[in-house]
Amino acid sequence: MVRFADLFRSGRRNDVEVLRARFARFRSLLEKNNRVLWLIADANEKLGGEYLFDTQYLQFLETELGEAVATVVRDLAEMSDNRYPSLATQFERARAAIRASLKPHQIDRDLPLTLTIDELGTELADVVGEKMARLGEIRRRLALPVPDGFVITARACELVLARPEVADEFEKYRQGSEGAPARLQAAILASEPPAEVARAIKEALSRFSRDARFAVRSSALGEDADLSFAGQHTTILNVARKQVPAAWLKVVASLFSAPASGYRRGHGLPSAAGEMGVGCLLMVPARASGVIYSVDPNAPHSGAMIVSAAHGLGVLIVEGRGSVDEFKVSRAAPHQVLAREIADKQEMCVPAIDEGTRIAPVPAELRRAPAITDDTLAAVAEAALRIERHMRCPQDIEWAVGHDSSLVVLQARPLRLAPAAPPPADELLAARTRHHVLMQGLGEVACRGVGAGRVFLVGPDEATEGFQPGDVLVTRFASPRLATLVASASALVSDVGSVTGHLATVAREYRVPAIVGTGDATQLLPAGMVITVDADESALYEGSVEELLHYQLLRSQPYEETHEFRMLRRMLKHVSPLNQKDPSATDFAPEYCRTYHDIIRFAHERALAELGRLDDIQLEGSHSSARPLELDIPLDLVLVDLGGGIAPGARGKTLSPAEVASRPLAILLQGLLAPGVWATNPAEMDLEGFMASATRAGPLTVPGGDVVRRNVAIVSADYLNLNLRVGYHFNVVDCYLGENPEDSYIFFRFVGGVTDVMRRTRRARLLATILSQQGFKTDLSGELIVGRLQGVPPPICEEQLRMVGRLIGFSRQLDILLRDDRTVDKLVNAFLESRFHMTLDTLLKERDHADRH
Amino acid sequence: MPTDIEVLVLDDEPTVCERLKDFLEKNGMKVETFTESSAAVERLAHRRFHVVVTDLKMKGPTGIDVLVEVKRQNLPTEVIVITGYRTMDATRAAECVGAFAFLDKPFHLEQLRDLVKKAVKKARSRSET
Repeated sequence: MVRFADLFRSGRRNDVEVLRARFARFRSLLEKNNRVLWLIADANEKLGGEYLFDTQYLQFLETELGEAVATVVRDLAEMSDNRYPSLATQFERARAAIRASLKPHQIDRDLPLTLTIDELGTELADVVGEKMARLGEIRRRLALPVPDGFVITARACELVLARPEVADEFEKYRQGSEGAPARLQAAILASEPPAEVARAIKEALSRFSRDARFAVRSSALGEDADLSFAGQHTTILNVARKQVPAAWLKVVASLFSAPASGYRRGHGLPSAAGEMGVGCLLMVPARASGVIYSVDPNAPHSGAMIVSAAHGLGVLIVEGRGSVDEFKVSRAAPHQVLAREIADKQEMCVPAIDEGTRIAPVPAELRRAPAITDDTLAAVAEAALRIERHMRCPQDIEWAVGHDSSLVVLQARPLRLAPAAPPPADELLAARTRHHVLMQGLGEVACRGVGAGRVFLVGPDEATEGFQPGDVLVTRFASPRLATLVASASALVSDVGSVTGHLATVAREYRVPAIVGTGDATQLLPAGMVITVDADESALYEGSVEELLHYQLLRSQPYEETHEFRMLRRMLKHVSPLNQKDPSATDFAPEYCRTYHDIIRFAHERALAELGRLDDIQLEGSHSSARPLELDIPLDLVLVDLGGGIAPGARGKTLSPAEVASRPLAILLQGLLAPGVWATNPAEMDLEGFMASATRAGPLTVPGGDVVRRNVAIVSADYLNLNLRVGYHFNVVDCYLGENPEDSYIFFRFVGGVTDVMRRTRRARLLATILSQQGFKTDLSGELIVGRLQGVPPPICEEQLRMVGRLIGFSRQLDILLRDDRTVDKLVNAFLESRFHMTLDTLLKERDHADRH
Repeated sequence: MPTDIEVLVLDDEPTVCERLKDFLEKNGMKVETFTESSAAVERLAHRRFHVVVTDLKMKGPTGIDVLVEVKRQNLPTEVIVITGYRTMDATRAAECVGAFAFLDKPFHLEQLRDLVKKAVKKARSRSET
């Protein structure tokens, strides 16, 4: 038996100092972590289009972010004895990328010369151009049919411009000399594709059949993003494999055509330095082609879409030549045709036999027939709405229909509409009052906007099977693990969470309307119900409030972006995306931290672990800050104060509960000391249980420790690390009660016991069941149970801490009673209903009863 | 919404002019934009505006020069000066010569709208007395 006196003999004061230092680092890390999240939130809001800012702001942001993240990295290194050295490397890499993004745009030298369409997404717009980046996004994320192919990146374009015979002309072009655009174009057309580019193109072509034909399309950087550049650059259709390199050069040259250069100058854009990606997509043997506007530009509020269609390839429509069919189609499913004008289509564009296209007469019987059926129209409309929902603004889409009537998307870009005044407030109010209000004014708005869809309830353990793009994601916790889904959700609602949380940051990045911290949305919203999330007014409505959705859609149309705006967007690509989502995933590691957000998320997560890791600290010392706590229950507990954990007036050798100033400990004690919790007559051991325990050599070995440090509470004003050895089990509670929901956490670890392994396992299961019912994330393996609660508002965290206190007392010797699995369920219910004593007695009686028979 | 508010916007960046014009027009105001301060000053001599919204730093005459010109001609026009991030010294100078307000970047467009409305009130009350 170990006595307290031992604690006050030999010892090393240093250990407490080490703990204090570690704790100070932790606080600093938390503070900077929150600072970074706030800066990201603020910067993303600036991207919303309702702000005006300048380059000085960007410099300020870069410095502030860099300093804060550097501190986080340093703090974690200090806390962990530099356990993650590569985190600093990743930080330097991200910082270099961020700084580069503030300089004139430069393309990474390691960028591949070609990328397949399946590798593309909007995040690559800076190196493959908006047009191809978006097509890749549509194919990959929306799984809509887009022709297979690849893109020749802007890096390849840069290599042409660096060729000796081109470089001189390019320089003159940049200086704006007279006649330079034409001479530069000629120089590019007269040159050869650089050998490495030719090789890369050959390689990319090798997976296509010999007689494959391609559409070679311009995808200039900035094209379609903010300025339409429509028709300024070349597209070459029906190109044979071996002609692809030459076609690529032609498209590149078109970057410097007189109209394109003029357009760029007119919009105050810097003359591009190799800023063009070129898409090579398999030709679609189109029976008919066309364009759809997802909103009627002439009547944006009419609820109609405009479709034009013609036989053959879409060239005549895009170039505005020839007569085409025009349709007005309802935006609402099943997309009824509201009006149609079938033209007398005399000519059509078709692929030429050898290469290119030619104009052919339309067969007489087809001339006055609609180019497409109503079914195809509906399919086109459906696809357009899906793209619009994903891109979150009205769309201008080129499409084609193959000979088997299958629809293919060829291009999609934001549709520019004339600036529209907002609809009168009373109109929106009327629309709002027509719908049943499910919730109002609860929680915090993390991202403004309006979204509607089917409620998808995230299941226990964050199960997300069955989630469909366009669903409203409703979750108890705003867990970063859900980040992947947020991008394709129409809105996000959480019971707990705050606006500076990781998931809220992701929602803002993708402009997903989000309300967090609503309290009980998961209880209130039935799965599958269609609701409208109005994050402008912080309200949830039953059904789809079309007026609000439409207003939101028209409001979110693209606008003229300033130079600073584009820089900020470029910069934030290295700052706010979150790749480090799941701490249990193998790629949750420093090497995979690509953005600042990744770095702080990783560091925060690991800092919690470091703080709770006390195995290497020997607290056997006697020092002024270690004092026993006198409790009414037979529990020997020693307090080690890191600062503010003990009331200033407490001078005695021992402490009373009233002298505990550590909030987490005080709260835990409220639970532990609650009437009936600490069973005063601990279950007597039955023989079976006792025999099992007798064979054990003693308490579980504690790594690096001994029995002396049995019950220790390391405390500060807002922190508790409790190490308990009650009744032969080893129990750790680590808790921080911060001001922000994201800072607070409770960590609970329990292992061991006195009885046989079956009963110990049952107790672990009992604890796991109770904890997960209370919202803890639990991990059960054999007799070891780890539970964690994080990201909940302070009142909930406190309530749960009280529960943990009760649980410690309630469960300390229950393993002896746990003779069968059925008892586990009984005890779970008993605990949750606060029937501590009664059930113990009942169980004891039941046991005796069973023994007699 | 009032449709008789006339605003002159001056910024050497065409995209900024475009955005401010879009926004203020959506709020029911009449807006003329200029990217060159000399042209704006000339326009001011010929037409009355309730409010001028001008960038501070520009090639040629600065926002302060425009402000001084408005005051010199004793126009019933209020001037709102948009200043760069953390350039307080210049804004003090602007206050001294009687700017209605200065607006520090980054700012929310609604802030600008509210300021313009207040400035119009002041401009009107002054032209009445």
